[in-house]
Amino acid sequence: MQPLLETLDLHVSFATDQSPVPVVRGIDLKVGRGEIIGLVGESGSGKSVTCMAAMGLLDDNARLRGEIRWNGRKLHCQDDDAMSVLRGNELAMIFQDPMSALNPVQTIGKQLYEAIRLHSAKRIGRSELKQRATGLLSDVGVPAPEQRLKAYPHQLSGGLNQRVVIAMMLAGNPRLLIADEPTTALDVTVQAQIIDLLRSLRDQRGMSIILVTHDLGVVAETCDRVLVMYCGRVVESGPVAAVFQSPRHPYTRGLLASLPRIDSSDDALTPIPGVVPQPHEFGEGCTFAPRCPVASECCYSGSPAQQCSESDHLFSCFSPLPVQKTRAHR
Amino acid sequence: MMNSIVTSETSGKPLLRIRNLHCAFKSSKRCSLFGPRPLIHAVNGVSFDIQPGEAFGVVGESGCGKSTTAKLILNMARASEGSVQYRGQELTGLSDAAWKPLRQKLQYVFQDPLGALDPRMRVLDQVIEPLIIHQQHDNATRRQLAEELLRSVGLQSSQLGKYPHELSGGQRQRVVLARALILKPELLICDEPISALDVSIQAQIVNLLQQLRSEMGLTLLFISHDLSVVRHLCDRVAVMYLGQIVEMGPARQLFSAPRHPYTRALISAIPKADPGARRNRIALIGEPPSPADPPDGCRFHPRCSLATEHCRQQMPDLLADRRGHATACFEARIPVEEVA
Amino acid sequence: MNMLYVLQKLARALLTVLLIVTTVFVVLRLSGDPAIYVLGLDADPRALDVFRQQWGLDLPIWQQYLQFLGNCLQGDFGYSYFEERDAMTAVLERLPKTLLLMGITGMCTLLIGVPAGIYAALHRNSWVDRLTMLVSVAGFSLPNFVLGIFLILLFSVTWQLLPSSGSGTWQHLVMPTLTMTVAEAAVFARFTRSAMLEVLNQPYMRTARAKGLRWHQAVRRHALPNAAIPLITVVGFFVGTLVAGGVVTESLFAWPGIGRLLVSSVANRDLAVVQIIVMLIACSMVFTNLVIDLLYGWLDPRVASLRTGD
Repeated sequence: MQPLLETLDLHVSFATDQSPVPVVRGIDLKVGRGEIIGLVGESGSGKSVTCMAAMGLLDDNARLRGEIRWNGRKLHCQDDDAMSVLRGNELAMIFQDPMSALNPVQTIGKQLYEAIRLHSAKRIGRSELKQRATGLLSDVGVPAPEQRLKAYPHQLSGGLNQRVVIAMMLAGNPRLLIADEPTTALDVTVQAQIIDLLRSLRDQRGMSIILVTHDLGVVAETCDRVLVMYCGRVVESGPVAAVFQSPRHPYTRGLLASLPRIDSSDDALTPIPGVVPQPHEFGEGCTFAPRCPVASECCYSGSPAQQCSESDHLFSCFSPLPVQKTRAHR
Repeated sequence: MMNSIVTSETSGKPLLRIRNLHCAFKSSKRCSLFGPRPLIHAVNGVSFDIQPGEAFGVVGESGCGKSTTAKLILNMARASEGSVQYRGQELTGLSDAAWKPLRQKLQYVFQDPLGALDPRMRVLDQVIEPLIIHQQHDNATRRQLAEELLRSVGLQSSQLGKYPHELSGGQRQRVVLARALILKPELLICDEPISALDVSIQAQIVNLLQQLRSEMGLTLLFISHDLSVVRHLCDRVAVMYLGQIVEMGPARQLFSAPRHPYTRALISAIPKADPGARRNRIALIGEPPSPADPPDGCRFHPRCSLATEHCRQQMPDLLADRRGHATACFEARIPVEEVA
Repeated sequence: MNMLYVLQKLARALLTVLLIVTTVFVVLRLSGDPAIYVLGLDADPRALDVFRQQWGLDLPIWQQYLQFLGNCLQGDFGYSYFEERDAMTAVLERLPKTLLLMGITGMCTLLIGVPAGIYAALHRNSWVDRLTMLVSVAGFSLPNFVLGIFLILLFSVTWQLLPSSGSGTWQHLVMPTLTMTVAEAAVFARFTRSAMLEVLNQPYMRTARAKGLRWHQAVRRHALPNAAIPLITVVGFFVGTLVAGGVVTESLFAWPGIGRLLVSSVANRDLAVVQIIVMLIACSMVFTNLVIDLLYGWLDPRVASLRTGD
């Protein structure tokens, strides 16, 4: 089946006074219908920029190369008029800090009405607007929705504001929701509530979701497939179970091994040595090589091609880790 | 009202002894022109001991009072009631002058390493500075000590002459650590020291803290919202909710057999990086109420599935079992063999 | 926003006015003897005494002050020794001229400064942006009197297009307004630009775009209302600088407004006139700031709830 969203060899760089800064360097991403895709990576991995590119919300100094397809048709990501027809209707996005994601001087109601009006062909009366807004809020589990319409964002908690933003994005009934670190600013119990909400949106509406996060736990519990990104490239991707059970790329294994775990004994953590390189430090070879425990000569000279092990599990490494039948990182 | 505990562990001489600590401040919001401003009780009767060499963790969600507790200990906020004793010396109400010698012994590391460093000062000089302030050693020795320490926290010699903005987040946090450790403190208070760092870097700092603990015999008060890190790093843990400790005990025991319904919900809410694992999450409804208007009785009862009439009316005391595992809950399930 | 909040603000405003009036009174009494200024240094000492007695200047200062306050409450704001008539009449006569100048300057400033700032922010780093900012630096770093003299030299002396002083026709208005507008509009353009840039980078702008608003829609509905909030504060300062600039500009172009009157009255120790003008300026600034405070609470719900404990 045709993927809903597809990027083909996507490159994004930002023009600066000096040389352009490459942030995304050849990303192939496929999002199927009703699928939750996890994009994992540390800061500077290009995960957010990839999403902003798909939304057509990159700054003016961004330079795009490669292709983004929506339903098989090429997206003109830097054409604002063309993209604004899709945004909210076909694809929508929520962001990290819910407290600042809403206009502080407008009521929740006003901002919801705006979204509802934007996505309906005919004029809607006041009472119907209110009814639909209340409906959207109760869909996302906001208690006492009718009263919240009159509230301002600063009067609600972070968790509630994130629900309001999600409700707003649902107004146009989009087919894909991009969630960029939606729970990072929230407490763990509230994070669990929002994650459950996202899953139920998929289950009930058949919505596809791209979940951008640095939290491997969130990915493991929520996503169907995962893309592990490092310095603007996908180093490993595949079904969540396969990738977590038997990571083939040393970076993925390193990430998993550096996580302290709530449910197991107190082994020493194995951090990844070194630091994430800056864009101007990207060399010819594999970007992870300087921090990689199994790097060899060839890793510094050329980029590894993508390989495929069983069922859709892809990785780019010259010396991939062997397939594990049991848990690899413990 | 003192819901404190006396456990088998507190019989030794603690390094830090905190009893019935309260912090209440007036809200900036007023009800009416001359009306009273509501009182926000950020910390409400917290008691615990930290033994020398121990790593003590405090966990809880935002607004639970864990950071305020750290500030109260460090005299950065004023306690409205209660006592903080360091090796038997009372710290609350001490003058700035009396605090100065203590600052050598009690050091702290906070979340944002960039904000904690002087942007116009080289890394090495930042680490030397505390020695100058406390008039320790001569110039050559200071420099040598700082260089050694910076290398032992994992910075390269070539990085010592750099400015903070030239370093990565993890490297900056190492500098902050070195600056805190140069005075050879006995107690290091860390408030979310790794939250601003990338995942792969967090583990580096956690390991460094562990290594420093064993090398320097450091006592650690580690405050974090990340339960996994606390479990990994700490010997004992206190769980806070709305300004109070609801559960406290040895880390291993508390995390493997949590008793308070809040602790259990908190632990179950942590996503596990294990797709095959069975998820039996205890869903908490809503979010913590405002500390300006806490509920009567047990502060957790409006969100608790086990709450009874008793919980709504009376606040449970923090009671410990033989092993020093304390719980403030009327309904907490204590395994039969431990009641003894 | 509740009534209580408004009353509270009003009470503070009145207190401020009283404080200013008192300060002005004290400073003026201490800074020189009006009798000498009016009658001259070599006047007959008896004539001086008579003058002082006539105007109550021989009384202790607190008695003078109470008398002054009492008179003010009855609508008597004093007598101009110099013009030899009711001081209030002398000031009110000049007021329309000043209001005209300030009104036109204010309008030009807003009409030029704000759109220029918005445009520059929306086209950040374009040549228009850079040019606007260059002009604005030049504008507000050029003192009023330098620019004024320059304009006089150019338009009156060299080209003989505009009258260099006085009032009456629209030609008289051109140079004074221009002199004041340049500096004010420059400040406004800069401030509007930075307020806009701040707002454009806010996460809610991304949210607005993500839900499907076009760029210009998002700017109009979400950026402008938020950028207006800090701008409102500047309007408060604006009134202050307008008055200060007015004094210089009016003197320079011999514009017969209260600014010029103030300068000459200070020189002549015409106490009553100075007092009235300073009170007038103070009241207008306090009033502007009161309006701004109330507007602020109305525009920004966060402020209102913070202040009233909503």
